[in-house]
Amino acid sequence: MNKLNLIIRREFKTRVKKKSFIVLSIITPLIIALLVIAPILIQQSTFKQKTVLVVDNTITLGDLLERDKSSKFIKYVNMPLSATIEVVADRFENASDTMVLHLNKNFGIISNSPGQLYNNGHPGPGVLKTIKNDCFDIFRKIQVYRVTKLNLEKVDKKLGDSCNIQYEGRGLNPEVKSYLSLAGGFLMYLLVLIYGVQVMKGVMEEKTNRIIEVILSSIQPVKLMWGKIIGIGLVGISQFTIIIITSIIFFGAIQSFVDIDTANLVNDQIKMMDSEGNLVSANLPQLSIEEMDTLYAIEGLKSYLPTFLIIMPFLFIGGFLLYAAFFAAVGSAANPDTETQQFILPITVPIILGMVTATTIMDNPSSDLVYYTSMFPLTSPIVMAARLPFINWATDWWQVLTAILLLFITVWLSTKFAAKVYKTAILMYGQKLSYRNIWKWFKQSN
Amino acid sequence: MRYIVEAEKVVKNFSNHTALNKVTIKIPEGCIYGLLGPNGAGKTTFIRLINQISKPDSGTVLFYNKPLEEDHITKIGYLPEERGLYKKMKVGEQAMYLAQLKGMNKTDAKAKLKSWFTKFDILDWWNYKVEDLSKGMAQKIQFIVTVVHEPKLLILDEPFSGFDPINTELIKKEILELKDKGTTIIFSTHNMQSVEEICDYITLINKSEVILQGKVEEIKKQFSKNEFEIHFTGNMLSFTTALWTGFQLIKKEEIQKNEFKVTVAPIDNQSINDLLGSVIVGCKVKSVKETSASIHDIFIRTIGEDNLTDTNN
Repeated sequence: MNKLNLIIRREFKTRVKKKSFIVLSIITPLIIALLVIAPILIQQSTFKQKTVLVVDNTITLGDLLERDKSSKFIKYVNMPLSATIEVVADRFENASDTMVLHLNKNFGIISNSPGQLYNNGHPGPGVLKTIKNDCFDIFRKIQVYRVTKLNLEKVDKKLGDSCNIQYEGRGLNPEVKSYLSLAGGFLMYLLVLIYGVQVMKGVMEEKTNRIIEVILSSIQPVKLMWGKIIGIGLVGISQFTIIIITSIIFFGAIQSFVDIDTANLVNDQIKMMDSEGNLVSANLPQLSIEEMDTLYAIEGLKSYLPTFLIIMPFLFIGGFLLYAAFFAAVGSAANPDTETQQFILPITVPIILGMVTATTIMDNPSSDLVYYTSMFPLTSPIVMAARLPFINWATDWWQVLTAILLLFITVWLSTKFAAKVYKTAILMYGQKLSYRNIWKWFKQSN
Repeated sequence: MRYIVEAEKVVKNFSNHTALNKVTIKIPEGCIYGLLGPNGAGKTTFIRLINQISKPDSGTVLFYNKPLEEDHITKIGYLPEERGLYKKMKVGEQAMYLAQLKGMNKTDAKAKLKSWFTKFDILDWWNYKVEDLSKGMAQKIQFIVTVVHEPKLLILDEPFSGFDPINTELIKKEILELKDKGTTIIFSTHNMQSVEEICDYITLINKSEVILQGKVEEIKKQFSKNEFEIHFTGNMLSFTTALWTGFQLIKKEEIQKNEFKVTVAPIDNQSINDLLGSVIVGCKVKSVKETSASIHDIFIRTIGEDNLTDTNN
């Protein structure tokens, strides 16, 4: 069997067989999924519909609240005119899910005359806010009626619930883009850093175990180095793939958990927004903001997937090889007992810079900083990964291509450099790890 | 004579020193060849050249009359001084890996390894992790993976360092067996006793240069001091009286009353027969032999002289 193949297989197998590999591959998406569904879960598990008994002395508001504003979160019940606030409040003083709202006859007329909410069950700020908004909304409509004398139904229709600004640009919704951008950049950052450091440790393995000379009497040093880099890279790709697949499964589970066909939902939403003037009252299930965000993210992810799957592998392979080469050089030059931390730092600085720049993309995707760092080979794997959702393929395709091309030219140079250092350094025991020595070994190698 | 390795005027420089300076070593096929020299003399550098771990700056290294090529490493087995194993790997899995790296196919590797493991009585360890083995156990495995692919040339760099006496004897026996089967063995060591016991040829390297080279017997002869050691019982006075015309007394050791071990040197060119003729009347000879220089003495002397010459220069 081809020797390089043998090395790659060993590097791959020993790592994939480790329990930590399996655990990490499954736990990571689980954690991500939990982070996404936790707010929904918490809300659902603690959610109970609240009943608000309205003792309405304004005569008009209570009815409208009950009719227009009752939802699955809050149910308004307008009390008969005969009910006095003292009686009702006393009766429901200790009820946890029932609140009593008192609107005195001057509510909304005299500004210093607020409504009162009676409840001892600690309603959340969300509930208080909703009640406030509901009252304000009804009150506003009444004010409009008083001035215009228009039919309340018509006012209601004309006003709508909220005003929307629809994004008419190309591609994804900017918010979804931002999330994808951040996720892409962060994923690349983690992959390059985690597997780069693994390469360094892998390279040190033979030196630490003192088996290096035996291995080198069977295979050329450069092949051994490449075998390690490729083997560990494949571990990265496998882990990455498992994480993506498990994530899709988990997200699928969330989708069924929320129990809505998200594709239809988003389309309906867009259709509704599309229609100018006459708002189509789509039959939407009532969702919390968190639920909506999750669904948008899932939809965004689906449409972004092809770009992601085509371009990301190039960026990952390029970025990984580039940094793996530097990490391998440091690993080969290190002694088993050397502290490598300070030598890793200069390698990680451009990675971290890339990540920092990637976080600015959301607010300013076309800044000069983003443009140049997404092309500069040391930062491009991360910055371009984060920039991808914002790329306009019709005009900017050449930037992606140039970035990838420059990246691979640099990869060629960096792996040549690493191979030269590795060849000499890997057999050096007891020599200090220093940049001077690394340079010396680079020059010494023939 | 057919040579397995011929290194001709090999030079290897590192950034701040020369590790090998015009070194010429020819290793005949089927022998055990000792590579001697103090630490840092250049022995390991020379071995690494044969193993193609590094390349010479000038000069040639031939293997069976051909310049070194990648395929040659499958015909060489190398047990370096700095040796180890992957600690987290299982013994069998690791042995298979190393055997395959030497070009063996899976089936052959497994069959050969199993037979070596059986021979060394360690088949039970096949599924152990290396980190669970003792040092002596690991040494056996290191030896097996060095020889499993039946190399034509076996290079052992300080093979006995760190070995316990039982393992040393076991490995020594195996080395001699391999030699009988036609394997050529390069033996790099400081252990002079083992050189004397098993090497046919030696090269002494000091400060990157060859300072002594040849067949062990011839070198010993060359360094022989022409002295005889005689072991006898009898009267010392009558012994010395018998000696006085032809021999000079160098060293005397009384083993017990009237039993001596004496070293004498001939004044002219008298032989061991002349010595016996002179003393046989006055005492009872138990043994007599020509004293030859030990490799250890030769090593110390030659290196000492070489260093002295350097200092004087």
